[in-house]
Amino acid sequence: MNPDLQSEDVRGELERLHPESFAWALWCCRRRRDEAEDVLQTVYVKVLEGKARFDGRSSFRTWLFGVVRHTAAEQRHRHWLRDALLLKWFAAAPAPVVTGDPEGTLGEAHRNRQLRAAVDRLPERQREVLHLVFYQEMTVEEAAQTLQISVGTARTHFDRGKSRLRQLLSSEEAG
Amino acid sequence: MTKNFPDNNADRDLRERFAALRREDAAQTPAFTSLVRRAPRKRKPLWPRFAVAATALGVPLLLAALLLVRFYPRHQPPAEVSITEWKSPTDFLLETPGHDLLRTVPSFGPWTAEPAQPAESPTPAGKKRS
Repeated sequence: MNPDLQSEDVRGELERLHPESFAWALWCCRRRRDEAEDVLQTVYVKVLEGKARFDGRSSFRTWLFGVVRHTAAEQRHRHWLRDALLLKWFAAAPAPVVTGDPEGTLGEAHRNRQLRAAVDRLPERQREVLHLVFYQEMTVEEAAQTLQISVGTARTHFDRGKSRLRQLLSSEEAG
Repeated sequence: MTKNFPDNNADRDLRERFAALRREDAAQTPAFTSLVRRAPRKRKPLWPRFAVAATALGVPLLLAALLLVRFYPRHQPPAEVSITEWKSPTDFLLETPGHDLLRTVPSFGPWTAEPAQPAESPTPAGKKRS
């Protein structure tokens, strides 16, 4: 993508990537929907006002995901006291993401919950790489660019994450 | 083998499960325009929660402190003792065995005068009275 994008083009790209960006923001915010919306809104404002500029060194999506991740980390650091200390008790509980199946005992929704629970138990880096590769269908190289780590490191996290995730899923399904 | 998934067949199970997750999430994505247009969310200020917490903790502590100050027996300073009445607390260490001998005049008992015996006058040797 051309780095000299007009604002209409940028807006169009953001809109096209919006579902994927929201899923990534949700992932970066530990599926706290309110926080993910705040993060994504901040990202859109940054991009549309030119505070974050695409330099063309990677794909627009990879760059945008990097901005989302960075913004989520900033927000997390800003709220670390609230999250870590007593205020966690006073803060309103994060709105749960509603699943499509209210019965939730069988079928896809149940399997999705199992997958989320298993992924939640992975270390952060493994979780991020697996999300980017499997959920966002990026290459390991693109995931490495997004996370600003080396390809070798990303591949290591990818392999370890996969085997650990399979273990967790099989133990959950057996139990 | 595709670019995305080097071990395509081996990862098919995980890819399918993540795809299902993606389908589910897609239904819950907020509209792009709603995020771009809306004003930044104003979080509820935290100070009222701090105030409630501080009050809940502070009032009982304040009451406890007041009660403690009011009823706790205050430490009285020892009454001043005249120097002539003062006694060292380590005096007992000086009471060694036989210390009375050092502080009193020994007594040798009452003196009684005995009558003096008259001394016999020596007689010249070889002279006998007849």
